[in-house]
Amino acid sequence: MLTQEENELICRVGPGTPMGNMFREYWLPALLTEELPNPDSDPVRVLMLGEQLIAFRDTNGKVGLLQNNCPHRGASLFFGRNEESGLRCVYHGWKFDTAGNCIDMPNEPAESDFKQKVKATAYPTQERGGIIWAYLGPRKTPPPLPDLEGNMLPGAQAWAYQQNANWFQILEGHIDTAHVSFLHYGGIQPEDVPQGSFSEYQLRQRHAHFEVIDTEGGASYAARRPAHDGTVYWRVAQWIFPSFSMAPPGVLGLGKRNACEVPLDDHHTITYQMSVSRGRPGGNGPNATFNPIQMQPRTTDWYGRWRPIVQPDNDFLIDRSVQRANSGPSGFTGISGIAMQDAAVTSSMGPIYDRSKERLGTSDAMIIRVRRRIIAAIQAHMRYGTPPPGVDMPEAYRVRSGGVLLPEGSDWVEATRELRQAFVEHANLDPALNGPL
Amino acid sequence: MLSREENELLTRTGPGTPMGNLYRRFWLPALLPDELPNADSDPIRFRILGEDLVAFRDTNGKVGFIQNNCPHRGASLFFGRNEEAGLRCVYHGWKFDVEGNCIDMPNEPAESDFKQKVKATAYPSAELGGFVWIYMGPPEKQPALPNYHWCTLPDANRSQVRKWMQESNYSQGVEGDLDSAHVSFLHRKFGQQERPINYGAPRLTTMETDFGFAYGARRPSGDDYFWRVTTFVLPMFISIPGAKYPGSGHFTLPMDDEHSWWFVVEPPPLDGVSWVLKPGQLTPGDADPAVDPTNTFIPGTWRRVRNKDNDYLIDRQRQKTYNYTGLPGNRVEDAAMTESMGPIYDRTQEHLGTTDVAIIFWRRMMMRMARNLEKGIEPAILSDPNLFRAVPLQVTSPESDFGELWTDHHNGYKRSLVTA
Repeated sequence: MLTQEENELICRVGPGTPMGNMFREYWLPALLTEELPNPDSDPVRVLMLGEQLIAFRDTNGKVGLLQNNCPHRGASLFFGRNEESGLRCVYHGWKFDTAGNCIDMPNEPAESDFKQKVKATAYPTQERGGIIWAYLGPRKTPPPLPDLEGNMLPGAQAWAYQQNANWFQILEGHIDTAHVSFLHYGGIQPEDVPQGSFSEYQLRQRHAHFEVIDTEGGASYAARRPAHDGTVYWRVAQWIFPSFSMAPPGVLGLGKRNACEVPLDDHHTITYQMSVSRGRPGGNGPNATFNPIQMQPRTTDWYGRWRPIVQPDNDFLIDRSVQRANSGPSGFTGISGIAMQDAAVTSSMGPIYDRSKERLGTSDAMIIRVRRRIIAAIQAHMRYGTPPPGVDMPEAYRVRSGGVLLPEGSDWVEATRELRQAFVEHANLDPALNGPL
Repeated sequence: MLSREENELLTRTGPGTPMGNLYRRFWLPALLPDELPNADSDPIRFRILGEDLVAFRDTNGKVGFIQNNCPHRGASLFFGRNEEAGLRCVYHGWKFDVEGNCIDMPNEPAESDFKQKVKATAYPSAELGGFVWIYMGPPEKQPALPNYHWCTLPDANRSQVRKWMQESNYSQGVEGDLDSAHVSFLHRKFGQQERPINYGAPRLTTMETDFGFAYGARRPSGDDYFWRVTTFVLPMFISIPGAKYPGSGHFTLPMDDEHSWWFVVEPPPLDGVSWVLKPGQLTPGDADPAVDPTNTFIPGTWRRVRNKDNDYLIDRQRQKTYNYTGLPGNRVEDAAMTESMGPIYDRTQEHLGTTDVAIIFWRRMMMRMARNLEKGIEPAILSDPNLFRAVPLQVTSPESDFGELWTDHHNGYKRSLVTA
């Protein structure tokens, strides 16, 4: 449970809010590379942390992220002409480069130096692994990008989807492994999966014992379930400031996947997924448990990017007969696809859930820890300007999630220290151990 | 740049606001006559200055503007029966005439005098120069109808009139028309021969006048100057030079704080000359809807097919090769700019340059008049309907100074009125 004040503190991310200020200390995904496909391609509206921005790729391929309203009289730069290394407002011809410098002001006399005095808000960008990263923060020299292997290793790919909910509701879903046995696998029985796989253990005992530890950049937790012959199945997962998570499906030591929640505003969020171990949705990789997310046709409005067809307005296309039959991966919910099952429950809480009304149990230990860490970091940042965890520590993001079998009585924290390290190859591990789930 | 307080003063026009009070001192264009085509024709909803009204033409042909909510229990009079010289609420049968008097109250006992005690808010109407006008101010302050130049022309009531809705504060629309500089950019087509209007950094000069103000934009033209002088006649009638017939112009007035009405007027042509506007065409600069069918309204609304929700159907390929914007027609281009600022632009964020002097002048003048009215100083122009007379000027001249150029033109115009 949170007080309403604490809830507001975490959920509100617009300019000037405490959490908004803290978010702005980090590099965050702003777009996928493919959204700005070519030099001088069409400008794109980008809503991010409650700010309206225009993204464009200039003639040299460099990405700019400018304030929406032209500094002159506020016409939108969306309608601008992206040409000759800059974005030109069509109202009076003012032209800005990717750094926000006004490089042409043709409606002023040639002798005027007004253009030297005008600057558009422009945020630094970097591209890596299919993602255009942006830094909306206060530092003149931005910190380094986080070391995310799903975004850095050869073959790194990214995809994205938007949800109608506050960013923290979605993050809480991603660090809540307890729901998986119900929401996603409630229609699957232990007999339906290979015996001796993680999938079997997860279904044979749907509840679990949870342990949480703090890490350098965030928190990690493990869910313990009995396995076989004196071994225990531990399902380990990670959260790193401010909104990065590594989902636990798969074998610990093999998973190379990261996710990041980026608030569009307080009520809309885009989840960016970065991966080398799984195909893109729609692909057929060996571990492709994710159903493809079918997207609505892209539109140019502030909410027009990466909107799934399946969404709150159509009740996530719930099929009540499938739900009644309760068999198979869509059985429990009647909703198809893990990501959309998650989206259905997180958005159904309302755009910002009032956490003064909730009742948390033992399986919510990770969620409670993450809230406390975030609130403490916000307060330190707000009161003393303390740089929040991870900003200056890119190596804190070198972590992995996944399942592991350990002898009864062993300490999972000690035993998995190396397996939780990213950028390490473990040739001896068998991905089949995970099973299909 | 304006302070937050000044921006509020300029943009808020609902009941009781200083700027709203100022606009309520004037006769304002409200409807096109064919919105109320006949006696007892269908009532229509109409919002102006943040007030929801129902307009109807009664059995005698007189236009009434009456409050939307029936004074009884608030049902909308839009559903009312327009019959026998009054609009009757269909909920309990209360009936009101164009002046707001309750002339029937059939759900009360016959001996009741309650209907004498009930009055609906109703505003005076007039028909002039092709528009239906409304006066929303204090009855004792109601001025004579204004003699805008076109209203005094023969056959003025046959003028071509148009209107549409714009989805932004009225001030953003007004400022777009006090900004000669954008014409050189926003409305540019590629591959046309160089003309003086293409010169993008005009020198702007303003002058306060008895009707409001005039501003001149000076561009080089050979050894001479190409002058365009725009007239702003209070409270918001703007005549841009270069029209086919003098007298044309338009009003941008508040529908509510986040929407505005645009009214366009083109006076009747001289004998033997064709009308300026084609059927359905909104302004002379606009694409002909017969050629571009997207250049008209969503049926049943005053919202254009090309609107902010579809990015005005911008064509990025045409933007690279054909014209500056990839949009067809000046009015669509203007709307894209002024609406994209947001419903009420935050003018603490702007950076005004030398081509924005007329905008600055307009803001100062309107804010001063609104503050003056609060102190009891009425707008001087309301003392004489002939003060509304002015026409703009477009001329190539060796004259480099605005003052003499304008004064000669305006005095000449006034003299011609006397001799005529």
